[in-house]
Amino acid sequence: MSTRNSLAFVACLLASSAAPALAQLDGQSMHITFPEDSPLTVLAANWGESTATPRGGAMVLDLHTSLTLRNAGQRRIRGVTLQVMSQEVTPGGKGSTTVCSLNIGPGESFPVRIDLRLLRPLHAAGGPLVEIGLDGVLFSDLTFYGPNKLNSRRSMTGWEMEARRDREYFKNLLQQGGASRLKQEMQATLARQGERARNDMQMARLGRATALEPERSVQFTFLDMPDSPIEARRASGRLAGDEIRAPRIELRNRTDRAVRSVEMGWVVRDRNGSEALAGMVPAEVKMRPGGFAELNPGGEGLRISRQGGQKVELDSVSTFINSVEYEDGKLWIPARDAIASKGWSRLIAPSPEEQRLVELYRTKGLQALINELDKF
Amino acid sequence: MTASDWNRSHPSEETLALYSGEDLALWPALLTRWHLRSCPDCRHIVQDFQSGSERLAQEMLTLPSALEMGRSWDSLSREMAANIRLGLAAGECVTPVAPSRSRSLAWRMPAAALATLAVAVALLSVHWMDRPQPSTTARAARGARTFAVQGSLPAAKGSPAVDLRLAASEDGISLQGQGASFTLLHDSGATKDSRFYTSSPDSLRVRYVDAKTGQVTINNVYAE
Repeated sequence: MSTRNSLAFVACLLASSAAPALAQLDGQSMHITFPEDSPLTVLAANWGESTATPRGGAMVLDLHTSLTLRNAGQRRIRGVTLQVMSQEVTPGGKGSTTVCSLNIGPGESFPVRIDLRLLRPLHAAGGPLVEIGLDGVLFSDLTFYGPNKLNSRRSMTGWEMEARRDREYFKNLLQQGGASRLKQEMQATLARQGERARNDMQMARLGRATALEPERSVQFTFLDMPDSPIEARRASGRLAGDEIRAPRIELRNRTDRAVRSVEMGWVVRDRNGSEALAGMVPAEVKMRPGGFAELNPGGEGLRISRQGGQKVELDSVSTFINSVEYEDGKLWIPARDAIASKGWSRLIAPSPEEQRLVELYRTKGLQALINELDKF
Repeated sequence: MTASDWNRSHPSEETLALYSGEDLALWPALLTRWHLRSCPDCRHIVQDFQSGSERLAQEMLTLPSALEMGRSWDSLSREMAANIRLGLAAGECVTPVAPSRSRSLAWRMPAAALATLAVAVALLSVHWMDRPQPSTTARAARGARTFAVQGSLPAAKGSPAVDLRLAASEDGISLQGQGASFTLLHDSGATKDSRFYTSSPDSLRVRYVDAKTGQVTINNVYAE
């Protein structure tokens, strides 16, 4: 061993002796509660390498668990949402983990991984750090079980409808154009993914306006889908720097069915001409057949930021209807052709199912993708 | 690398790509190096791969975010292997079929030449072990992480006393407030480009395909 290596070895020894104490955590740190009549049962819970490390006056807790859940019901499961709460760490805050695009038959089991990091004061009260509960289960017939506190029914139903739409699309490509056509589509989707990932923006509730730039009143463009059950009559607000102040959107229900909620996509363009999806805003609306509703998303308004937190100079705003939930719980989602014909595929993320199939193609090849499509 | 690779007159592009990145095992690397000595075509391909890697390393060093060296090399390695397969598949889509290159008997090693080759291998191994190590900057570029989305959120209506922030980072999506934070971590095997973020005024969502289970996983944090 050279002198330099010897010095490095000694330095490593000294560093490891000075490292903060690291403690293993056990299953008591996470508490799992499922309803007694749940169609899911917890077959096993592996706590893996969960650790607690003091850092200054705080404690960093890395909690890793892999749950094995079993379908104890009679219907095939398409999606599961677990609610993850840590009230002691962040009062009012909660999270969720959903696995969707599943195809789990009665009696079959599947894993769900939850990986958390908590930072909390060193001397906090005892008790379980994290409570895990069931928010919902979606079945293949689109029926739902669960408390639905996080609106997982609407989300998972939308994702399942998108999954069926996209699988049908890929199957048609395969039938009409063969494997080479399917491969071309996968390549194009991958290229779009790379482009879109570089354009991510984020929206936040505005709270207090801080932009110094002069504000100007603008009309938002409404990107109308051909068969959308909802249309926007007026959409306007004031733009200042990265802020959308006092946005107002007036909607009309085109159908003869009552509407319970809508989800609107917001596309922003900056002064450099760069366009990206800033976010999706769900809104509870009660619209009778042919009725109207007015929305003011974000209350006072919205603030838009870019990757890395760089400021955005907003130039224009467009909105579109991404999904509509009727009073009976059924959903409308845009047709795939409508999205493509408007050129929005580069703005809107692929569905979870398309993402899964593309990843399957990327990692395991075309034949694995074709085999997967044959299962449905 | 399969035995069929050795039956061809030239190593496959996949083999050359792995060779150029010093990711081939010792024995196939020695055979490839032996072949390159007498094959200008393959040397040219390897030089192309190496110059591309150097350009990429330089570009990554110019990206803005902090470097985190040495993290999750396994996931990066899986990603590289998948991308090599993908690149070759993409090439098949756009490249017309070319006539195969001529086979050379020299590449088929008869058993009688094995003893001679063993001596050559020993000499080459000594040279291989003496080769210069990759530079610090190149190693840093390999481990570079460049993605960060940040945003903030005041507390939602009805809870004015708590100031909560939602933020996304390379590790996960988090809810921060009152000196504490709650982070749902991503799967480290999911690549940056395969993660999709969706924000709303009161929540932040990330979606990725879990590398271990193959399942689409969607994490949400809420500040409601």
